[in-house]
Amino acid sequence: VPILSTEDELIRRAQNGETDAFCLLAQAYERRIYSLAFHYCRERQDAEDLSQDVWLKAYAAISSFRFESGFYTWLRKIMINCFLNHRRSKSFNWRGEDNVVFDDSEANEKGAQERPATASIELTIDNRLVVERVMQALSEVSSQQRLIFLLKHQEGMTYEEIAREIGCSTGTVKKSVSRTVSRLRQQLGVSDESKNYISCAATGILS
Amino acid sequence: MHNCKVTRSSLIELAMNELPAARAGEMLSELKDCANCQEEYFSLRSVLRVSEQALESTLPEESFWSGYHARLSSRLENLSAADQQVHLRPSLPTALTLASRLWAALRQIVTASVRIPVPVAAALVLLAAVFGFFALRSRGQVIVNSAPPAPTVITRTIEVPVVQEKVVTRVVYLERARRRSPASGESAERGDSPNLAKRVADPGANAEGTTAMSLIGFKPTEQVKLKVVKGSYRDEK
Repeated sequence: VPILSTEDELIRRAQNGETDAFCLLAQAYERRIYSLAFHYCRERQDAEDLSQDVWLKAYAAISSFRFESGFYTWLRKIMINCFLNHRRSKSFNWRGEDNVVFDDSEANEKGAQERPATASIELTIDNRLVVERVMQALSEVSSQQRLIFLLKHQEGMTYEEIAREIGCSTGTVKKSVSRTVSRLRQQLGVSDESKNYISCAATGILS
Repeated sequence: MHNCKVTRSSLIELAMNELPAARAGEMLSELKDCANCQEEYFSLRSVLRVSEQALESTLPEESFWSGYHARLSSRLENLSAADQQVHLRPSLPTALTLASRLWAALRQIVTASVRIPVPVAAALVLLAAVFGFFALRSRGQVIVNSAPPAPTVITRTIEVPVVQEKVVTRVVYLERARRRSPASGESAERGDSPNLAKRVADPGANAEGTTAMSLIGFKPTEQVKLKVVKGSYRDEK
């Protein structure tokens, strides 16, 4: 309850034009928004631009927030609209669905430096391989299917909520999720016959 | 009764917590009885868990967020400053401000839109059309009334006495043969009156072409024949 009241207070202050209050609100959710933006457009610079556009639009529309829903629910609607509009805009240099632009070498290098010295090189390589394959699987589906999967998998939204927000049928949402999961399984080499690989990879990442 | 095909079609929903609790429990109990379906379910759960971990692992380092937040704060400050500049515009000269406010209000009025349900809109349009029709009709009547008055024709029935013509027929018998003869002797023989002879002898006295007749000296015959004519002279046979 205190967190909610603090958030409400920050929202009210932001509605009165206090930018600092809105920055505090943004600080609470910026990683979540950025993560979705990055997995959606799969490029860091685009992800930063896209996520910050979400925040700028939210700031411009904060006076219209009526406390009828949670702040993040309201923010997520803005985010989805922003993502869909971003995809439609001509200025957006959208990466081809087949060309995966995933450069996580810097992050992995820094991450490797921060990891304990006991982490083996093989484990790091396995993790990176799994991450690349997951990103490859996400790149092989359409942007809408990817967004639906992210909203379901990362945001935990129901099929009905996703369908309402995206503006499609529940059946389309189910098919999109099923198709993306199928791609993931193909990329990770999980089939009815072989299940050992995924178990090893999962153990590696989770360890 | 367990059906592998049916169960596997719902495994994704089960793994993504999309099924109701009762249905999920039922499916999980079914999976215990089918090793293949259970294995399929576990592999699916693994895929989802690994992909979740993989996606999380792609997030930037902690050092990234300070710069990200600074850039976001900067953009928000710029946006806020732009908004404040918009709000500072009222410090302009009053006349300009008033004009701009009026212009803005006018624009707002012109560009304002109201959402109306289609039936209400249709009813309003119909109402406007009816009013317009009657307005045009009444306007036409006003135009007729305001025009210069046309000459009015009043028809009155007046009884006029009609004078019925009476045809009076008078029959005058003259001795034309004796009057026209130039010889006075003949006339004397015939016993005409001297005045009549005189008038015949002196035609100048009757130069105007009119015949002055007098009944002086006229002797009526002994036999009088009366002829009664009914109607006009035209009916005379």
